[in-house]
Amino acid sequence: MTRSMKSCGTTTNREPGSFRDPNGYVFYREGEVFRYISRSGLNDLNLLISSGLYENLVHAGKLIEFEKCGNADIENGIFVRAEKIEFISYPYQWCFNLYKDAALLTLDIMKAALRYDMWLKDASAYNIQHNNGRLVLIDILSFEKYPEGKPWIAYRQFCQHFLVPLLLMAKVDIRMNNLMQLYLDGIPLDLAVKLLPFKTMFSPLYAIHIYLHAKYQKKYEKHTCGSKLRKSKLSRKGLENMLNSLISAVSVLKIKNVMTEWSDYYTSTNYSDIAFSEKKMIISKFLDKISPKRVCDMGANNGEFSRLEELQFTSIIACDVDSMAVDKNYCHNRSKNIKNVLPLQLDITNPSPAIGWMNEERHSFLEQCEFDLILALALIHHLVIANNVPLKSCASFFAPITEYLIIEFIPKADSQVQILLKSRKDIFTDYTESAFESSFKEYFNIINKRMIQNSTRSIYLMKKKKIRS
Amino acid sequence: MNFFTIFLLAILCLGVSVKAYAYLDPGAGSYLFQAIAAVAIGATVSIRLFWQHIKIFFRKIFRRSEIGH
Repeated sequence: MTRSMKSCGTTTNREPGSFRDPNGYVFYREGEVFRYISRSGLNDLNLLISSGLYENLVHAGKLIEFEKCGNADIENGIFVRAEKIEFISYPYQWCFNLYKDAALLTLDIMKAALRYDMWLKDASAYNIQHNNGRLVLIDILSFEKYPEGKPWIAYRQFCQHFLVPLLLMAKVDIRMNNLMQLYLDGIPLDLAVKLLPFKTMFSPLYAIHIYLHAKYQKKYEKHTCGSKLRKSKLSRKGLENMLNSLISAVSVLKIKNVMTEWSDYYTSTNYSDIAFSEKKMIISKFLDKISPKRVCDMGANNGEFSRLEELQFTSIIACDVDSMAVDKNYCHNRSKNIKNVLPLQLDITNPSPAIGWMNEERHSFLEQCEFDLILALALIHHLVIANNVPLKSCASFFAPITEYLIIEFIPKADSQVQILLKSRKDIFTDYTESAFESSFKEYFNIINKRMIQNSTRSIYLMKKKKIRS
Repeated sequence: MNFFTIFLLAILCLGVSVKAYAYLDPGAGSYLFQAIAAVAIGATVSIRLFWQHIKIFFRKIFRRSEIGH
């Protein structure tokens, strides 16, 4: 949701989540992203550019590129056009290694900024986004002149937005980043202390940045200590050491390679080799007919089908509920330099909602969904049988968010469906191929249907019906 | 970066000097804690270095005695 403002005959939509920094805000116009920078933000912007830091970071692909638009109006601020991010993702949708890379990028930028006598005045995880296969900082207003000798203003935010979620993911459970959905400004340190295993306390890095830090927060939570704050000092060397120790604290974190329900899906699937390659071939042929630009692979698992050759020039969101499978997908793409796939952790039966101030600060997943194609492979039986979603409701879910749909129907006779049914009564009398087709025909035209050899499954290519006005 | 250079010059010519505002609450505890953290980190680094020196010292002694045998 964005708020519309009419200006000069064109509609300008201000980003509702961009209101905290008085130095500027983000808005959209005619599909482009702009940033307004107020008078108070111009000094730091000047320094960012004149110091060479902007060029250095943009050249290294660590900061999103901006260009000036309109005339420089010093009294009222200025406008810059920002490179558009294909899909804005949030920390609670990130897998462990993406999250870790985002944390290290933030610290790397902070260290680089210090070399140019600047620093990051905030360290929000929401400022890091995935753009063409790399992570980038999207906020040029995050930079300000380094006040020599002062402690880092964003230390608390960095710990709550990055260190705590990563530590919880590594030491407690890989799904702990879901807590970021509850705590908009990061997971509180006192909560982390209660959740972490006792032995974490004996690691000097975490004893300092989490346990002692939490104690200090508690100690000063009700104090008015204005003069103490003003007098507080931290030398440049001290700050650099602290940044290095945060880098170590993040770098050493690893997730245990636990076997989750779906992390090993493609090796334990009931597909024969012939059926699997036949499935790939059918999908490739369907893709040849439609040449999509924006694709969502729902239930992507480790992204096997997101990496089909026919999809290499498209922008793909590969989402799955299984955090481990998503992490495998991310690590694979990172190692093979695959740039067009963004793997996200997402439960399609409970997509991430709009949260924050007025429920508008962070967008819901579905709000951002506008795809040319959705791949829904081996998904429908989970929606209908594991989650009791009626077939008609499945069809009405896909219809508003995509033009084309490649969907696999898996009949009851299939062993994967039988696994889902083994512990429950079969109440799904209408889960048949004909009911599936008639439900989807309400919203889509079936362009093609192909049976997969050596299996019980079929794959459909559908196109959304045009709404009659 | 031409556009930005021109833009920068335009701003500099107009002589901008306005106050910037820190909008983020650093948290009193977190802000004050950093001086303590820096000392603790320094101490940790020193202990680690000291420990490494001890390890190197003993390794040398054992190597010498192994060569002697």
